[in-house]
Amino acid sequence: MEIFASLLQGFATAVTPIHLLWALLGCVLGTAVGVLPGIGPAVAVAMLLPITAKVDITASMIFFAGIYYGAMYGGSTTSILLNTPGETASMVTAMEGNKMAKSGRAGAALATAAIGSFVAGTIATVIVTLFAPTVADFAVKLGPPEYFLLMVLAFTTVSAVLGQSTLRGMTSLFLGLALGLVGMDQISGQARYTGGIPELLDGIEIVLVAVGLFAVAEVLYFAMYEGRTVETQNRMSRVYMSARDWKRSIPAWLRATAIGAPFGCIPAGGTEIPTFLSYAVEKKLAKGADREEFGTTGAIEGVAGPEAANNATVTTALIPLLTLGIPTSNTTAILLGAFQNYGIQPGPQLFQNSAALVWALIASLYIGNVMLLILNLPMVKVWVQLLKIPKPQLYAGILIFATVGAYGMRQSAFDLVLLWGIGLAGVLMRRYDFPRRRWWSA
Amino acid sequence: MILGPLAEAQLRNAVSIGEGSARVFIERPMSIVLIVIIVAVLLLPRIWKRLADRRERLAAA
Repeated sequence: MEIFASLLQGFATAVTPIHLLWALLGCVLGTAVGVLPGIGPAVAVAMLLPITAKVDITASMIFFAGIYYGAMYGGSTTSILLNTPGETASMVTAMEGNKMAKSGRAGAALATAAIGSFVAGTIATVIVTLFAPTVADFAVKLGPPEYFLLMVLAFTTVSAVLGQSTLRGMTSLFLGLALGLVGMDQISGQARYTGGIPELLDGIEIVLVAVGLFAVAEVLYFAMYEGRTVETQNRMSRVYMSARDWKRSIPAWLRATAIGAPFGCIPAGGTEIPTFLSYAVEKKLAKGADREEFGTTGAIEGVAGPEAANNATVTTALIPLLTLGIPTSNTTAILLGAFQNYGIQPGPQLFQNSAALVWALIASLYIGNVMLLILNLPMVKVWVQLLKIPKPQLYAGILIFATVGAYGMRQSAFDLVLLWGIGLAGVLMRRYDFPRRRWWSA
Repeated sequence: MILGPLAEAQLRNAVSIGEGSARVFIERPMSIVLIVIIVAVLLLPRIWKRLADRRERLAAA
């Protein structure tokens, strides 16, 4: 019951008009970046990190969380209607969703994606509500040795198991660790690796690295190497699901939630694995005529499952973030940076010291999921219009916004040099397959 | 960039708890379990791959 009381208090904070407005803004922006191919939630949150200097922490966390899962809803729209996924998490959705849209069932695919995201997101939020405090209680008991090893584990998993190349993973890991050393030593105050440059004494501003690595690098990369693909847009149909669609979607959503939720909690590289896994399971379980639809006219389970798995993973990723301070995806890594910018360290103590903030954030997840369902189902046609924005102007706009934002933090020209240096390094890393996330979260 | 400084602080705390010795890491049950997991994560995929390669070569021969 203690949880319930805390959650109610969280709702009390989250439903104040100003916080509702931030949540709505986050959801709208999140859906928009999800829809736009090439920019995902990591870009958007990174680009907006400089606002942390001006906005109060509860508001900005609600805002960022809105962007974070809003993008998951928006991403499916692009995957279904275009032949490119809006963000990596909806790659699998694109496989069946695009086929469904080609055979005139775009509406049903969009509906099952949005409702499935809602169902999975809400169930996963319940899981976060119930389990996060328990994990936090357990984590308080961890001493420095355990904590250090837990971080080493987080460092190793992604680069060793999932990356195509362990060498590359380790390289970016140590690059990140080395850059993190720049500045004054936390305990003795000794200056390290500053090269005599006074600006570096405070260390490299994490916001700069986030904006450079995720916003600037991502957009430059897209401008340089992609965006030449010819996109064909599928015809929209009415957003509607038949009784049979429901019957096939509901079990797929639930199975996918069960698959996706555990993956959010372990540092195993985000949503790619659970979405693929859910797709494979649905394909295996389908029988008869439904089975035939996979890969031909598009099976609704193939959209319902991965979309739900995706949202479940994204939501439960908040458990390790809030309780251990360990990010399991790009975007949660940037969210962690946002917390730190406020001088708050997510971890076991967060639930005790900043209970109001945490519960308001969790309550806003429930609210945000409802908002997104409303934003996405009836208004899908509005979002599709976003795809008409010409890319050159869009990318240029993002770069300008990111640069101005970074400069606005402390009006330092040195920061801009650093920002673009990191941005260009990010492009090279992406080009040669070095995982940028290792660098960042190390 | 994010976890590095934290990990450093924790490592220094841990070593000062152990009064300068790295033994703290193997004397606590939780940390031993974690060490085992880390080593497994690093080694298992390679062992599996090697086993699979060997089976393939045997099958080819």
